[in-house]
Amino acid sequence: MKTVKRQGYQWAAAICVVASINTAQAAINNGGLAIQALGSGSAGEMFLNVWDQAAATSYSIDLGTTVESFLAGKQASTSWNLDQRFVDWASLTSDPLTFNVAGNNSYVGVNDADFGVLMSRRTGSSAPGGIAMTTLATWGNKVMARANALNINQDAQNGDASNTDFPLNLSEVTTNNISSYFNNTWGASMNIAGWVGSAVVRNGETPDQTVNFFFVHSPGGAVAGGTPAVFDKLGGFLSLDVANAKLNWTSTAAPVPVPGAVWLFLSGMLAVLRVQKRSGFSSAV
Amino acid sequence: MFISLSRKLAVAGLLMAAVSNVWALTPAAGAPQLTLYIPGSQSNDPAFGFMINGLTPTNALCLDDPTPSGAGTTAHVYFYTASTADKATNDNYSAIYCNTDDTKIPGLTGGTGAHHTTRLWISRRRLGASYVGLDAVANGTLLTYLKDPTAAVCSAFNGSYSSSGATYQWNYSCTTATAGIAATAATSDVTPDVFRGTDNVTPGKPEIDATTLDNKYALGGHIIGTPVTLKLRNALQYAQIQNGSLPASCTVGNESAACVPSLSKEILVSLFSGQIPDWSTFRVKVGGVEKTLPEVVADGVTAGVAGLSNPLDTAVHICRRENGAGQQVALLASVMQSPCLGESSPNLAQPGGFADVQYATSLGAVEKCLGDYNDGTNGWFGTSNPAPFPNPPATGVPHGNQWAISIQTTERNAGNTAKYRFIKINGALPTGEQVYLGHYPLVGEYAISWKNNVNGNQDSALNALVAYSSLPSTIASRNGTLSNHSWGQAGYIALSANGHAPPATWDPANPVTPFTRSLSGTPDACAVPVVNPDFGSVELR
Repeated sequence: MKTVKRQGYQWAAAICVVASINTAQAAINNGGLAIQALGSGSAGEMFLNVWDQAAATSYSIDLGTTVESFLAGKQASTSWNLDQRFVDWASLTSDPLTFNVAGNNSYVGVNDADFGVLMSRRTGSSAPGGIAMTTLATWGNKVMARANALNINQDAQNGDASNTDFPLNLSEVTTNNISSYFNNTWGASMNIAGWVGSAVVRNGETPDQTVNFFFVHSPGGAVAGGTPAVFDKLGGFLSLDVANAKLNWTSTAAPVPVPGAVWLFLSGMLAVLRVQKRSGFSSAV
Repeated sequence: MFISLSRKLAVAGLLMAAVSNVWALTPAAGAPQLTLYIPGSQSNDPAFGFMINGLTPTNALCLDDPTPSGAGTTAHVYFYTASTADKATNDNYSAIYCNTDDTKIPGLTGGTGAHHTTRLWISRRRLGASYVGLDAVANGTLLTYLKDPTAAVCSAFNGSYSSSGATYQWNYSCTTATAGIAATAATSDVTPDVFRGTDNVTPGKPEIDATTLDNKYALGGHIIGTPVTLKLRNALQYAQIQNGSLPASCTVGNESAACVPSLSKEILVSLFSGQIPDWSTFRVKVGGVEKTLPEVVADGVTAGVAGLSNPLDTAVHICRRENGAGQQVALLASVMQSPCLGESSPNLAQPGGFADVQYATSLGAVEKCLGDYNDGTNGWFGTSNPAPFPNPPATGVPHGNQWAISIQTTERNAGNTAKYRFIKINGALPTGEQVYLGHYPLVGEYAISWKNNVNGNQDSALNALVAYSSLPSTIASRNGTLSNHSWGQAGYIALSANGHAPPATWDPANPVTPFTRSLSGTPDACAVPVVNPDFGSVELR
């Protein structure tokens, strides 16, 4: 029952993602447990980091999409429109720019298969090595800490914004004397030794690089500290279109015949409604 | 009516006159001429002249020492109380009001007489971690203090506050703390260069940029311990007796130096980073047979070994401190090398992983957290933490007889009255001697920092404080009963980097370490200590 309900949420979330994908901008939900410092106990949001190393400035934005909703809709190619702050910042930057994307989703607990982190990794880089669940927990903490750092400075740059007001989607530009600056406790490796987390764009004659997306997560069930974490490489890649101020997810998954899916979905919903009507809307839990 | 009021006024006047006669410097003597607002770690508190167990161990700035009766001295101690005068403590706000002159503070100007006698108000704030103090100075964050003897609304009251085996005496109880005051200087358990990175900064606050602090001095080495619950100590002790790591003559519960169990630095890193979430990870070979630590203990329980009991669960329970707490920062820098190694640095474990990680947000909370895990009491369970740190578990959560570890100053529990014990690291006890020999790694160089925006007399006073606080004789006088454990003298050690020659072989009367973290002339908490080339000798042992 829980699975059916969860799947329903994911479908709904996927539809919402497609509908609202271009409205990114918020205090980033760090995806941690409510009992953690600054944790919300709900799905973590994805965020983009871009770095102008030569000028020592960086830009970040809450993409306004949760890890869970993105995973649910990963088969669809999507775009996030970046804000005017990005346009203004990008117009002043030097070449090249480095970017990465991440999101944490540890609030569900280690025994849930949705416990994990979504992290970019440069397209074409070597396959990542395996890690134990205890290490995955520390990766989640690192992504969470980055979200916290961004929220703190977003607060400072966006007036009355609260760093726990998650419906707000905010961006920021920082310099290297600020804790949330790209290369302070984050960087191209996303604070994980050996992780090739970033791509370089606008790099002279060199073609723009892209990043793949890995969801590193719990296998679910009764996991122990030494249980290997699961590395899911999502079918697709992220590209940063600086000129048009867009972050693009290009899915390489087999296209889903949308009309068929819609009809299947609607017929399923009708069947559920019919069953519920016959049973007087009672439901077994 | 008029007569009655007159009599009351007269009596009050006589009382005040009497107090003034005996207590040479009262709030009525006039406003302070020199004021220092100093938030942060308590590591250097004795040098301000506060009383511990009825005495003032060291006194850098005041002409007199305070006395428990308040009589016969120009120095008095002020504690804050949120309720009645007898309930005052030094947990949040405290102060000393005294006379000083240029014999104590070279370069002092103004005041009266040939030696510029000056009324000095030293206002301390322990509330908040080391980070809070540094943030106040580095980033200009305004804080709350006892502003001055008048604004603090103080009444004469000689009291004694007991905390963790020590007593702290005071002479005035004050009811009013004033917000919005800028710090003069900050004390910290570790030098300010390492208050950066996620674990070392209060969530929601910026990192400390140590380069903005014009003056920063490491005063001495603070020997910090990794305490474990008493029942875990007994378990480790029994297992290490069984496998021959400890002498066969040791018995469970023996508190002598030879019988203190040990964990390696790497194991501590694994525990505090969450990579070892279960005590069953530890294997012990007893009589050629490999068993887990809980299995070995279970065998001991079956054999009727006194002091052993099977734990409620085998999870690793961690009473960690809040981000930016100085002693935890010392553990991070000295043992975990975080954030010193950048992306290769391990982070402290947080709730939500495999170990049971809880926030204990003060030295007292650490003591209670360990006590509750050991005994199932509710001294800390069911309480609340300051935001944004998560609260302890509710009292209804089953607890007790669980094995927990934490971080704590070795100035606590010397009498073994609390339900935790310190352990060795890499076989070395947390003593001055083992630090001197370069064996014990967990030492924080406690510091004082300020900017050049202070006035001339404040600068002179702080420099005098630095010079006096870092003297080997000052530090030796601090190493009294508070840190004199059954296994040796812990507490503090002087730094050869401050120009003090270390003894050729260990001398507790001249406790100076030959190792330094200041090779480049500036304190560096991330540096691996090396023998100070200025003196060029070290005891080989």
